[in-house]
Amino acid sequence: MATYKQLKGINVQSLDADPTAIEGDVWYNSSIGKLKMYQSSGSWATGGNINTARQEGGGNGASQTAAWIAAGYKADTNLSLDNEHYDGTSWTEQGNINTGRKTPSGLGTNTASLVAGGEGDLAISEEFNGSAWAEGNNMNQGRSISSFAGTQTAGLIAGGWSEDAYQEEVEAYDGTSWSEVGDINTTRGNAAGCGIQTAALMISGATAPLTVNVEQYDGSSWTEIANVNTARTSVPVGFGTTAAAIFCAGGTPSPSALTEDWDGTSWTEVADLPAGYRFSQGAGTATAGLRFAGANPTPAQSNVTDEWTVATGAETIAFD
Amino acid sequence: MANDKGFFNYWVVANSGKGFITHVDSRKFWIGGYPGNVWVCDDIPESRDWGARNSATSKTKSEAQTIVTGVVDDAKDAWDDNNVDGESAAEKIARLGIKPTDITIP
Repeated sequence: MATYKQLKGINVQSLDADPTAIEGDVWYNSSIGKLKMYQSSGSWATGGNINTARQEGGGNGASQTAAWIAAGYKADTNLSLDNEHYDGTSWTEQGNINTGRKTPSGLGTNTASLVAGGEGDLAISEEFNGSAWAEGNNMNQGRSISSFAGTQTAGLIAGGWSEDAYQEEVEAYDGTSWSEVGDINTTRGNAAGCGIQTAALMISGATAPLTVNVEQYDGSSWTEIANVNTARTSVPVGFGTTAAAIFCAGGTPSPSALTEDWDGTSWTEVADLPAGYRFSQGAGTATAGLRFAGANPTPAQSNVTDEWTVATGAETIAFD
Repeated sequence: MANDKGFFNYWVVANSGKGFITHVDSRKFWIGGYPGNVWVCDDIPESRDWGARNSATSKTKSEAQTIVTGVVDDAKDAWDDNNVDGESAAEKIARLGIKPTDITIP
């Protein structure tokens, strides 16, 4: 069997204490007689439960400790007006949205939220300023199950379902009005999205069959990039940026617990969610994110929140 | 403990929120959630501690499967009964998602 030196050209350092953390470093801790390495890995844990269980809401947020959800479909099969904020521990009710709806796009932060569209070719958008919702201008094309990215004043909504068909059109929002921008390459809906208005990802989704395609937007046009490993529909979740993102949940068509990590080049399967969900929402970054609400199975609405955290630590990989 | 558990243990307990499953739990053992508040875990001491910590009810595999199947069957019926006049099959799938399918727990 090849030695470490034969493989790497260097010997493993023998140290009497763990060194400063550098991802991928391997060393022998002579004090405790163990071979160790620093590695980062992500895992899921449950967060605080949402007060009103729902699926197909609009939601987003800046971080794992600041997220929101509004509207959606409640357990009593009514459209929800409820709006809740998450602080990393618990969800708190806020001012209700004006128009209840299913599968809208949800963009922005807790103090600057944007909900646009919804089932039934809704074109209505609403903006939350931290205390109340106000009507914004309508989108050019009413639609639902779109992919979305960005903020209340620099948003992007791509594809979706409208006029009884999946769509390829994309609209950008500047905080006042909507304008059409470059179409996606593969017409679809039910995809995940993440990023900002000028650097966004549209991930997987449904055409007629499910698609593994991923497209990246640069502010003017969409380019196909590396495919995900497992295609998903029914509103999977994306959070992060074009350089580092997480894609999770959705339907294969069954509720999926799969999680994939995007490093800017390729998608890698990482730790599964504790349970699979369709029609849920997400927020945060690729190293500290959230997935919340949804259904498993449809129409069993969920109040569950899952927290994704990547931690780096010294792991023992062999004993003396 | 039931004798048909194999390498997993089976629990029924509602997700209580923060602390129900921790990052430490997730790193120590595999845990999978299924409809009906059914949870399947690697059968190791840490997962049994998790069940005790959350006051979960232990089930046999067949008992757990029956619960899951019952919830999925109800969901199938609800999907079948949820119709809009004049709606095509494609429109229904776009609105509701694909009809729930059978789930077999490990």
